[in-house]
Amino acid sequence: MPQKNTSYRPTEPMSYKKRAGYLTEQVLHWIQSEDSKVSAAIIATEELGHFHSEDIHYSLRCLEEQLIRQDLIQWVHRLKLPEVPSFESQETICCIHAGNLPLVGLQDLLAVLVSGHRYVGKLSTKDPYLLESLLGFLSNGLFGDQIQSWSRTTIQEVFEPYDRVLFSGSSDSLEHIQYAFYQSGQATPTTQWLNRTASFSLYYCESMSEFNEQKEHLIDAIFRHQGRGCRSVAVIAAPFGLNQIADHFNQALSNFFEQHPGRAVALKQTPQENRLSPKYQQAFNIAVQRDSIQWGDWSIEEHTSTHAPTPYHSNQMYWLKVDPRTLPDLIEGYGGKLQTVYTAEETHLTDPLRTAQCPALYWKADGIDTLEYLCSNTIRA
Amino acid sequence: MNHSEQRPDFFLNDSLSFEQRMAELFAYQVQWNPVYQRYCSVLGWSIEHKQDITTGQKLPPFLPVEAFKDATVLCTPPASHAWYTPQKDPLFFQSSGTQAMQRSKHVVLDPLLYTSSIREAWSSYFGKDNWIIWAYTPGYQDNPHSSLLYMINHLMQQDHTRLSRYLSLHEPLDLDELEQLHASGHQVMLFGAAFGWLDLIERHEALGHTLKLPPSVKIMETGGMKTFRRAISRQQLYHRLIQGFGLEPHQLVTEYGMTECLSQAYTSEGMWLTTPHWMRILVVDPSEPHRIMSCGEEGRIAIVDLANVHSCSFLLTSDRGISDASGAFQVLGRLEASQLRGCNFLVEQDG
Repeated sequence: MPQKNTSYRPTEPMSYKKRAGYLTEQVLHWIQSEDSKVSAAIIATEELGHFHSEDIHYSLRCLEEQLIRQDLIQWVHRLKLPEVPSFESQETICCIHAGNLPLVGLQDLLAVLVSGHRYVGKLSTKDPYLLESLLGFLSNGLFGDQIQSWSRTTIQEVFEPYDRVLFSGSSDSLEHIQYAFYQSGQATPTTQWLNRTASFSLYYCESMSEFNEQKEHLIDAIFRHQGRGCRSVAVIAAPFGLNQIADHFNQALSNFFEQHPGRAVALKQTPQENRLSPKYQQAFNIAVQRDSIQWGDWSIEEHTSTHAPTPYHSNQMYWLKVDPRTLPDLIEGYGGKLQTVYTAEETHLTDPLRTAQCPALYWKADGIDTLEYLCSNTIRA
Repeated sequence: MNHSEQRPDFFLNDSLSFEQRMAELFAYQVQWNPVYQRYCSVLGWSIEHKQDITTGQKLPPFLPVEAFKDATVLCTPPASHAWYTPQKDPLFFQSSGTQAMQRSKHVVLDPLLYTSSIREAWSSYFGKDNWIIWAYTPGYQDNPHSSLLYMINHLMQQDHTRLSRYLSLHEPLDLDELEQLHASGHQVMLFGAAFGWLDLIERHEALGHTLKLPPSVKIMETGGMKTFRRAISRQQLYHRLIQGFGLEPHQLVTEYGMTECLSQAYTSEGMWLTTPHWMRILVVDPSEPHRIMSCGEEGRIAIVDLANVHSCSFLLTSDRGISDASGAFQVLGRLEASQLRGCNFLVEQDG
């Protein structure tokens, strides 16, 4: 049975801004306090072995920065939500946490709590401890009445079906989860699904000098979380070819793996199902005279932008030499699979590369503002 | 044996062992096909390995078929070479797909190699008697670069009754005509892709017809599952076709071929495919294709097609399959890259 929060208290009227403020304080306290048991959760997560230890600590540092910067309060301001929320009804929102990164889906949890709705969480067996620790901590405070339950079991009994489900993943896995939810009564035809299916991001590099300036950010955008996040760079588009930058790229990779020897090992441990081993990959690229860089199990190969392949394996990236005028067509061609386009500096259509792995908390997954979505039934003045 | 003694269509000469023929072609292709030569060179293979292949000790490296998308896979020997074929009237085959998709291109320098392979295999599997061919496919004129339609067209030209034709894709089968052809002692082979046959079954069912094709009529299912609008396993497809057309198992034939190959494998009855004597299918490790999987163990399908004289005889596909001890195999589907980028909550793994 899922853990059910029994410390129910009637929700006191609270503005979104206040809710965001209290949540900021509470989560910061969880991160920074010695009595919050977050250290035990970190150790347990490290021992589970799905994530590189550096990435676990990075995720927590990133969250801390976002909260100190008051991202949650800014989120409320940006949406111009009314001072005092008035729902048509308080809803039960099920958040599915995929487990590919530490604390993945935390944005959804925070958005639900700021929105005032009830939270039910499906935690992945790959990342059960951190979120569990945070949920346990928050349950004992102001947000206790909103946090209904959390569980590592997908199929379970529920008291009533969810009003909405926040899902991130492929359309194949969505089909399975929807089936499981409908069969178990957790969802009905009236349950609304917010499905985010983008799986990778693209960096457009304007010049070779920009490449050299950005290469540290780029390496982090590529290798943080072993390339498994949808914000990870998997495609680089540039008006010059890979061979023109190969020496600099190789040097950057060499420096990176020298400073982080565990990364190369971790890359090797990432299963790359149905993919030819590096020596066959290399033989093929040489056979068809394709420029590529290989570093153990990781590779980047140059393709034409007219037939831009979709990156699936976290160890495989693509370089596309493009005419800048065709960049919009390339982006449109990737459709919903592409999460974010990065450039060196922010534009109205792109994010700065340096924020790839630590964006603002109000970033829009698949272009959708989760808090705005959850507050869609809020009566506005 | 060396090139100067053999014509390129020696692959049909089964008085030579498969290994001898394979070694000869390897020697030719590793020398004169630049793409294959580069591939083998990186893997440490050269013409020096010919003897290992002749004795059956080793198999040559298998070139991923994706090479046909990214390069021209063609042997270019000097004019003095015994197998030199001028590029006067080559066939040019291209895989199906939209303009936006990258398509495989197969240049066939000598059309006789293809037509010989088609006729010899047909004769071996379906006999030398006349067959009437009805094709539930787009016409050859509409798609002159399809190797499948070229084959169908060639088989139609062999039909001395002149009753072979392309069927309308918008009409049900003419069951009366099929009965008449059967009554007058003719054999009819109906060619079509999987999704085409399923659509046709549904069309007849909508008209209230219960189909039972005459015993001398066979259905040839030519694949095309990956473009089908709904997911269906090969087993489900097999049973649906048998039930939908009212067939005995021997009346349903599955064909396995591709743009990059000049030979095809066929089923005789059931779901196991076999190959003509100049073709072999192996099931190999998806990541390390030099390793051959055990019988019944799923892996990646690799092909040795000795009819591919002037391109590459040793191909690695992106199809999943299994094989049995006799060398028969089944195609289980595509070898898809599992999505490891982005969120992916999998019920079986995550909860």
